[in-house]
Amino acid sequence: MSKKSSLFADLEGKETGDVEAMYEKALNRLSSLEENLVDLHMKKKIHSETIKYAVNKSSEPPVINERHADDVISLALEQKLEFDAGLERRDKLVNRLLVPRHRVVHTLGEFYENLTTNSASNEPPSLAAEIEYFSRFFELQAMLKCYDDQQQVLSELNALRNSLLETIKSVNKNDRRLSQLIKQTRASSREQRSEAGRLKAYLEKNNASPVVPVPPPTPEMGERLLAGEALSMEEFASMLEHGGLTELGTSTPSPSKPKQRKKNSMRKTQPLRGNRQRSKRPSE
Amino acid sequence: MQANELLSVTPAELIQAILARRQSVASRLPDDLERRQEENNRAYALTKEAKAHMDALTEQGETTKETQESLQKARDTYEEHEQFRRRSSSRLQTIKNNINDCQEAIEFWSALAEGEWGHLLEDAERVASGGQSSFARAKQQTEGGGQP
Repeated sequence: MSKKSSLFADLEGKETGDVEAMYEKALNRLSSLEENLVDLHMKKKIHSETIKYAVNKSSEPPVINERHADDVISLALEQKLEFDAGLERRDKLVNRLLVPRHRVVHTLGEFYENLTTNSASNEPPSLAAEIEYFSRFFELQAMLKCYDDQQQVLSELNALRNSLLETIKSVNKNDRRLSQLIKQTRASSREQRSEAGRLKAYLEKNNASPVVPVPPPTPEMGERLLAGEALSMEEFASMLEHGGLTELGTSTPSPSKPKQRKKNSMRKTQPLRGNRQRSKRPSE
Repeated sequence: MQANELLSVTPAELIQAILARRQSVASRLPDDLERRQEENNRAYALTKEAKAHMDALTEQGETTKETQESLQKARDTYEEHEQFRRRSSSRLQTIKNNINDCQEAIEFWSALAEGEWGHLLEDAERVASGGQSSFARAKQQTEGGGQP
């Protein structure tokens, strides 16, 4: 008893109307916190998907609606697209030339030496080899010029990579911040729910109904519940207030109800047996 | 040579460098040919002499141990000289081939120095105009089962 009285100690001297107002305020705050929590979860999901997309762990970019639009996310997606385009340009060049730049430079020098170095120990190549080297030398020279012309593309690609990494760092930082916010909001929500429960219990104890009477659940809500869809806090409260799931089922019969019952019966682990057959007695 | 210097080499300059090297080699070859010919003549004379000595011992037909030993020694000497002759003959032939090749190359590059090198730069022109390198084409042909 002493425990109960201490639970409502701060409410003892107050008018019922004041407590009802406090209860209404607590419900509003709770509703607001729940909405905020859903928003935060959505944002966190977008952040996680953006990071996955930017580091090529996912091939699809996240779908962002206007409500959850974020400058850093938009910037990251934009930079990723630019980076992919740069990569494609570089890959195209590499596939066209095949030999990497450092090998082009090395082979170019080797061919030049083979064609021009004059030493007694070094036998000159045959005329056929000289012609081959000559032709390849100028092809390699053209390849090296292509690489040098593409140097701008490569440096741009490096710059794009660096800026994308920086943006992803920011996204990651925001993601961690969102995790903390979710944790804090969840804690606040828990506190508010507890407070609302306490106020409601006090009002019930003093035979006073809450200021906002909870409406009975609608048939539409019952159908949604049976279809497995989510319910809001208010709907959930109204369901609990008016008899819970059992009451809901009897008041709003739906076409899918027999199916649900059938499913439940299938989960029973008891063996299905028929009635025992008995031999007829002579007296019968 | 650095990459920038290699990039600035023109076909005409490279042909001049090749010609200069060929002419330098060609100027050395007559002396080499003379040396190899002397060497070959000496080897030929030594072989001829060893063979005559070996034939003379064989014709005597003596079967004493000393004669057999001398005959064996003469055969070894002949084989040694014959090997030397073959080697020097091969070297001489190489020098002769080099002289011919050098002459042919000098004529070829001298003709090209007039500006007729276009057909040797087809691959370079294709790469410069955005086409595939011959390395990439070769790989593509290999992967495509040898289809051109």
